[in-house]
Amino acid sequence: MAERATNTGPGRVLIGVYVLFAVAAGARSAVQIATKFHEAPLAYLLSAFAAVVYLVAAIGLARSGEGGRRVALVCCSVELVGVLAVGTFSVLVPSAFPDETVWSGYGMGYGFVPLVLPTLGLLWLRRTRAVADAKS
Amino acid sequence: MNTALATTVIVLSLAVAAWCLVSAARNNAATWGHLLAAAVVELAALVQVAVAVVRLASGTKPTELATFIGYLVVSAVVLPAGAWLATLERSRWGSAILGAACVVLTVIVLRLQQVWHG
Repeated sequence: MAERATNTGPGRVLIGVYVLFAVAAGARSAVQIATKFHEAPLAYLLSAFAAVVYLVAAIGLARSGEGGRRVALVCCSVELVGVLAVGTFSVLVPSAFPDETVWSGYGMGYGFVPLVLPTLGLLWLRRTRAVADAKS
Repeated sequence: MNTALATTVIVLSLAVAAWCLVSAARNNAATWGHLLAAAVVELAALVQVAVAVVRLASGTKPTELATFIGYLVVSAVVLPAGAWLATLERSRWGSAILGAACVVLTVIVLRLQQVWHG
């Protein structure tokens, strides 16, 4: 075992929250796309995309290992860039987002968890990687 | 929605959340006591689900029906899921998971109230 598994200890809390957010964002955007897609197509598609990224991140962390770690790293990075970009954009050009997305206002509508989650994810990946370096 | 019932669920849930998170902070794994307390909260949450289903069946419907039903389903399954993860993780992080699940339940009950009252 070269490195600490990403699916134990605090990692399991992260996975739980990721699954929750995948379900929450996914279900919400599914309802929005089904009932009022024309009102804010960009916002709803973005939420659906975020939900998929959350789900894949959870799978990556849960599978652990080199592949899972890489998948999780990409997902967490996409999330962090996404929430920062969409957050900034939604503050500067509010008219582009007639309805809320998971990432608008830096995830304010979801208690800023969308901003905190990828940050913790990246820190967790780095931490478990550091264990590997210390052992080798 | 029954406000007294919702308040009961929220208060119980926050109490158990506090207990779990204090245990996590003191480096204690979740015990049967924690799980029993979570079971009591779950019971209250299930009573709320039953009341909501009866109300829906008798014709009262919130504007965003699909969203309401979604929250209702999650309010029933979030604690069992958290408890299951907590038993897999026999460390302080198990307590953290159970505590987080209780916080999530609180938020969901608040959202249920908002959606019900439009």
